[in-house]
Amino acid sequence: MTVFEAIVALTKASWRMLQRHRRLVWFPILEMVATLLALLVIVPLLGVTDDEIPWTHLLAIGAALEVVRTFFAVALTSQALEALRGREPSIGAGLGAAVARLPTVFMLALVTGPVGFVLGVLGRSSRLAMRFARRVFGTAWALVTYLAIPVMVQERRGCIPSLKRSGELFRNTWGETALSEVGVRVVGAQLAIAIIVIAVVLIRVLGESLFTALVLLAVAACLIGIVVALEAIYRAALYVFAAEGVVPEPFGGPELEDIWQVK
Amino acid sequence: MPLELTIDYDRGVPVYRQIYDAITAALASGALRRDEQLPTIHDLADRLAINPNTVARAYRELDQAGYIVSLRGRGTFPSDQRPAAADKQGALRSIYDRAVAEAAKHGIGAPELVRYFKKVTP
Repeated sequence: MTVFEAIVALTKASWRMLQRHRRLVWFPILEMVATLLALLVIVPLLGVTDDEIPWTHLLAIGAALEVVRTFFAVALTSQALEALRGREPSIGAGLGAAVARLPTVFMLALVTGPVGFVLGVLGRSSRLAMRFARRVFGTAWALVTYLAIPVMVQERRGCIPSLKRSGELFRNTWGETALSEVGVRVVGAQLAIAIIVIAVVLIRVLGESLFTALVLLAVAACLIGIVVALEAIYRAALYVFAAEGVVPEPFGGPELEDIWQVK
Repeated sequence: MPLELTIDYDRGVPVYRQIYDAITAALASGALRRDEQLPTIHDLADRLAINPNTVARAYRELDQAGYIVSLRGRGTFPSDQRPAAADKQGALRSIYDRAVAEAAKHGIGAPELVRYFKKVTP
């Protein structure tokens, strides 16, 4: 099985699960709404008006958005784990799970936010070595912390213990985790192409107007929501595989057995 | 007496194996009697907040080892076969780990616990 075939098979398995539990898509959509609201509140509070935004303000905005992102990732992951157990996910239960872990959500955002900020600064550098370092450290960080949120949800660990445990689990699942990272980029690229095509078609059919922009925004939000939910389902399945030692449905079956190296 | 089972994620042992070890420990110690029904896969998965496939794998391996039998329409029960020596090692490890974890909650370290066991063992 090639890497591309594996990505297609895993995406299909996540898709089957998402079709059974469509409300999982609501979490990323709610995240986008919460992000917009957070920006509407924070930007005037900080008094950001001109083009030159101080780095402290950027850091504050980044931290707030990281809290929002982590909060909804916890909510989505908790319900993806429920769905993999054969139960019906609920938006209320997901948000409840995130609220119950609020101190850890803040702590995790406090750690991942600055790391993301530093990686962003390195990525914007004009020096090739800096950009190379960003790529290497960014990928390593993403892989080692890949299972931190499922660990936090399932094992109710704090921030640092979740990151440590994620690193431990990564040692057993590095192949599957790397596959997911590649998969997200492949699916993300396809998503970007889809959004561009839809945008061109919409502008042709409806013309350039506020209405077209709103329709396009709604379509893009739905598509992004689907991809984020698919990735969360796979991440939750990978956690179950790493921690519990089994491949959850619908990720089992003969067509996927080459992917999971059952320990 | 219902089967006492807790998952310790710090052990670094897959959850299905922890269930396997705990049940062999209960069989070896006699805590799980011949006529005592094991929880259903979904009940145990719900109780431990884990995936049903995890419990199913533990039960399947216990069944293959001959320690439990599934009776259609009646449920899953211990078989006549006792855990072999190799499995007893796993069971002992499970008992030791749980005792150490329980002692740690009271601020008692493993060496102190072992010294106490030696002292009270006839």
